[in-house]
Amino acid sequence: MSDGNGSSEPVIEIDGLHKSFRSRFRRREVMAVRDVSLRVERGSVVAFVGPNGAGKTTTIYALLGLARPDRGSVRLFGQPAGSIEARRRTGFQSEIFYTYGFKTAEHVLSFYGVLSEMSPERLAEAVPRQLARLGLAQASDRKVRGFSKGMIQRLGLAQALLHEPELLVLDEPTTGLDPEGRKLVADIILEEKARGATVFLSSHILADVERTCDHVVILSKGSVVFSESMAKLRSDSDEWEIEMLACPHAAREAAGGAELRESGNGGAVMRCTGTDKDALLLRLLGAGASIGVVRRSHSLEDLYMRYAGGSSSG
Amino acid sequence: MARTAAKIRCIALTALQETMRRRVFYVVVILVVIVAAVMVGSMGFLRMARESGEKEIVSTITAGYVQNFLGIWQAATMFLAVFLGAVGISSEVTAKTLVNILSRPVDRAAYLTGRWLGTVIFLWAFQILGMLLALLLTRVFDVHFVSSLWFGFVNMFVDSLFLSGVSLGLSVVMPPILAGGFSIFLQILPGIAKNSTQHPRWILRGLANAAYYLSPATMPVDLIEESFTKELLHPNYGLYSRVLAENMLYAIAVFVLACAVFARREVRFR
Repeated sequence: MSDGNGSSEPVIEIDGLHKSFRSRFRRREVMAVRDVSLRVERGSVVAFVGPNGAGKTTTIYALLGLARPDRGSVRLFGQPAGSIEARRRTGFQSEIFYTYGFKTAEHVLSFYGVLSEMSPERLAEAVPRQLARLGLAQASDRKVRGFSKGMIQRLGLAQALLHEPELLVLDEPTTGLDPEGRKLVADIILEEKARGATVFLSSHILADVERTCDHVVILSKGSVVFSESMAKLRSDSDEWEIEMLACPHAAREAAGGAELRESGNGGAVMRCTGTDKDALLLRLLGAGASIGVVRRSHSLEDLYMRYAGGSSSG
Repeated sequence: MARTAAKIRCIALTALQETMRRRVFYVVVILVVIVAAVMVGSMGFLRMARESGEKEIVSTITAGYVQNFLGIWQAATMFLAVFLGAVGISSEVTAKTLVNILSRPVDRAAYLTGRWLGTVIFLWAFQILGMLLALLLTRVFDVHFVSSLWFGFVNMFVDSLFLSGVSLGLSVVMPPILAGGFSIFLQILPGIAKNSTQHPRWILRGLANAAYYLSPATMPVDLIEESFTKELLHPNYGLYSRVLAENMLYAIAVFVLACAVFARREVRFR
């Protein structure tokens, strides 16, 4: 992931993407995505996080050519999104895997395999392998209609992985999975990265993102509000939060330029770097502040709450 | 090319399997079976009448029954053709199964072709079943028919191809109910327009003529009916073949146009 200055050819290039929809009856325009730009480099795992209605799925649909941008451009492997060549090299798992309930798991995979231009020989080898990989070997001849939600999700991931794509686009891949299933998905994402694949995933489950991703992009109300590499986030965890139970006026003045956020009941939370922390604490205590907690900041959850918290529409 | 053919085959097979599981198919089959059973029941009594010497009247009545049976079967097939064609895409959009197809290297024209092919295979299999049952009835009840019946059967196949193709094509640009309604309207349009092609008011005459020539061709005779009632004196098989070919091309033209529109159209899954 880079903001435009990367040297290697990006797998995904989104430039100034705007997408709006018109409501069916009142024809009111709803802006789904506004001015989203990002580049995803080969071999990276990028998470797209944001609340419901933030525009994650619309962006993913634009990547697959299912949604046409109003403005801006979307390119995959240097090709326009939605081109046959781009789709040939991409594997996609939708948030809920909608498929034909009357087919068996094996037939579902064979169906999508043929659509992905796999030869019968390759299919004969890949179908049982992917079913076993996702823990569905025992259910290979069972009709999908009888599958649990978690099994359907795993089958959805199996069909995305089947043709060993160079780019995996996963829309909420852990939805409906138990902790064991979530771990399996996280392991598979890391295996795919090791294979050299690029993974672009959207997720609500921040712990999974922290575990698997190289880069995180936070989307809120259709716009990118934060974009940073996980490595940078980890190294930047030098940032600290000082929670004050009571924050008199003198303490606010003593804080100087440090970032301050009200926390209710007269309290406040102050952010500072590790270098400034001790001096700031002394100044605050001297000004009569009542210090509650001093903690390291910058967990992904904190960032998420800071940038996208409270903007959910779903 | 081989890859595209494999994809079309795969989509067609899935469309066929999906159709076989549609409730509407079973409702139609049950209705047709009930009506056919009532008819065949009455034919049993007619057989007894024939044995008692009323051969002339009995053969006229049994021929009428077989003709009605074929008519009912054909009406059921036409209903299925319009319905299956019109809901072909919308059902996949609503069920969101289309997302996982269009996100793969599948050309939209190949997808539509596969859907149409699956629907047509189903409709033709259903028609062949009806045809075989009708032939069985003619044999059991000794009903005489002339060779134009075979042409009538071909006409039935072309009709189902036409209705399914046009309604599937139109469903790309309009809701299924309108697509179905419009394809039926297209088939009856020549009959409506023909009466006004000599209208004294030029505007009506012009519109009627335009509608007449833009609508599909109509068969000059009801080949099924004629095959059971009398020998055709001057059967114009050349003309009948042209009508069939024209209607097939009409459906294909609408379908090709629909493929071009579908390739550029954004499918909304919300």
